[in-house]
Amino acid sequence: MNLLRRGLLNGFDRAEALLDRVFTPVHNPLKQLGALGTLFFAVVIVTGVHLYIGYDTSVSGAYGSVEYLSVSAWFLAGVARSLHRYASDALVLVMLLHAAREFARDRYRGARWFSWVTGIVAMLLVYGSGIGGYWLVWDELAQFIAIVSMEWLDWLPIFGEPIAGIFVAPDALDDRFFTLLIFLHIALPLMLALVLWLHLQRISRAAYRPPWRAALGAMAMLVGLSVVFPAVSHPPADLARLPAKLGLDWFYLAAYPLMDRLPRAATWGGGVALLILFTALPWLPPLRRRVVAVVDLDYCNGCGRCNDDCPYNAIAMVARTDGKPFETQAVVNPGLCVGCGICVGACPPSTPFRTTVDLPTGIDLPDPSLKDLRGQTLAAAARHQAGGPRVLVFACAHGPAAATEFPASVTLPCVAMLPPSFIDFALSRHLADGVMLAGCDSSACYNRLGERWTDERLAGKRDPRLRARVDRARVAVSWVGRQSGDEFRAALSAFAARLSARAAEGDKR
Amino acid sequence: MISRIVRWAAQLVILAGIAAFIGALSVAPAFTYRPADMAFIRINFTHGAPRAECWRPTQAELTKLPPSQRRPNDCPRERPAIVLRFELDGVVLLDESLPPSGLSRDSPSPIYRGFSVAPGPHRLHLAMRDNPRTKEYDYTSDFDVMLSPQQNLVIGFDPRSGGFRIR
Repeated sequence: MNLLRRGLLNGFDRAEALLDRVFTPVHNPLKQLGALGTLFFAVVIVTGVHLYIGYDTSVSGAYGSVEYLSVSAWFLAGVARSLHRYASDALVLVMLLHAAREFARDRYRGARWFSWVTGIVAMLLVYGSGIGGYWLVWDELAQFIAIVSMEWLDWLPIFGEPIAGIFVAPDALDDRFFTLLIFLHIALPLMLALVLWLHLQRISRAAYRPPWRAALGAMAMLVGLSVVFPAVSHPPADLARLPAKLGLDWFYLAAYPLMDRLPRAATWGGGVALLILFTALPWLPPLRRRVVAVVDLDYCNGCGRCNDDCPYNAIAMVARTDGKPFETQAVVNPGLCVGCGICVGACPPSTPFRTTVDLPTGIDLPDPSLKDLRGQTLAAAARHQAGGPRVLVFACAHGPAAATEFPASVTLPCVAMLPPSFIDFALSRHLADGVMLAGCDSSACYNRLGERWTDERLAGKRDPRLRARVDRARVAVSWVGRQSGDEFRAALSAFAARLSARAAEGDKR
Repeated sequence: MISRIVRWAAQLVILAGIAAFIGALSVAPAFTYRPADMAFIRINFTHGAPRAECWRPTQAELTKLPPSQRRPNDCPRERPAIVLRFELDGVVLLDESLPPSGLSRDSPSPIYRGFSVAPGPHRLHLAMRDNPRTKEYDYTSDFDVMLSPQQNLVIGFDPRSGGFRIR
């Protein structure tokens, strides 16, 4: 499992690094898969409503109405039909990539199981909606899908007579069946919208919309494809004849040749086994040790910053229970907490300047705790190598190895776990000449909001702010992925050079 | 400026590549469902064999049963299997006993079976027995058909209209 994940991760890292250079990290399509999926789903809905106006829900009229929409009303509806198909295909593409990427980045276990499982339900609904849509055209492809689907379902011993029999003779099919199909083709996407809403329930500030330039690029791609290569139908379905050669949409119908050629028991068994395997992935070994944030009410004044910054909606503010003169207190839901530590970085008492040994704070991780962080900072400062300015690196565990393996570095589950006061602490106590925060990949923060909160805290736009007295020239930030060790080293060297130049300038004065 | 143009060009190439991938995979590679030079014969119907007749248990048999199960007439719910034989140009393609469906084996026996055959003239012989007590077939039919390539000939069964029929 780890081998598969590592292989996928390396592939994604390389592809993302390449696309970063072409599209910039913010507009990199691989970093916007979920949001692009929402965009494609929206295109499918809008074009679907448009097409429905002209669709005839009868056996004899369905094919003709689709042909009319595609050919005679090309400008008004033909492009919409192509957009409807290609946006559906693009939805499958980004959906599969999104699932593979979350698996590769190990973001499907622990508290994230809910998003994983609802994602699988969403996938099934996408396939159900898409396959149902192909039936509605009622061409030879639809006939093939209908026969194979029904023959596959007939393997279940629940039907008194073979339901595939409806599709083998022209007189067996009536208009009511198409009414049922169109109902399902509307109902399943509605259920999908509901499941997608559930899918995003455990994260805060979900990115529903891709950045406008990424959205524009995706739409231009779909419209261009629709105009250059419009979606067309096969010849009309004829139940007195069996289709021969078919142009399959492999995004949706890849399983159909197998369903047709392999024994039904094998395809049912394989399909159900795969579904169970994928659904159970979050609970399969190797299991991960769970770290959950802990609230210390003696130091919690109910300010709500942890609640506001938590990317996973794991912290709730509830009525005070300890009689202290504050309205609320933070409560961590262990089922939602992923142990990123961003709440520790947001908590006002999280400062290393305090003289207490245990360094208790309002909300803390058991490992590494704030006390550990201060101890590791002091230890890292003692590891500065001779020659050149002394740079202390606070590195994200999901960033480049060059950062976490740097001698004078402290590794955190997320860079946003670091309270800005630690930077002040390191510089004012002369533990370093400069502090570098080495996060993970730009616009692809492992813990979703770590990059944004860190940048805003350093810029003084978000509490807790980096104090004004801290010389900004002695602070640097690097956001690069795991594979970009060279970029990190280059940024570190440039920062060290700037510090040396400043020191030389100071000496001259 | 040049790097910006190069980046825009690279974006265009990548988006065009993704579009080409989506467009191509939405119709290709083609899949052959059934060979274009073959015809197809499908047997598709359900038929329930008549249930066995009710019988009247003797007093001795009734006494052996629990009081709640002592009924003067015992009418079995289950249906017997039907036996179906299909010959194409004298070659037996199917000769099977088809069990009734349903948890209690009380529903008709379904058959849904297909055969790829060469186009052209064929003689079909169909026979079915739905009475387990007889050795003879209760229904037999012969059809001479001319099949064209890709034709989907369906063999059905309706006892009210005399037995087998082709569509």
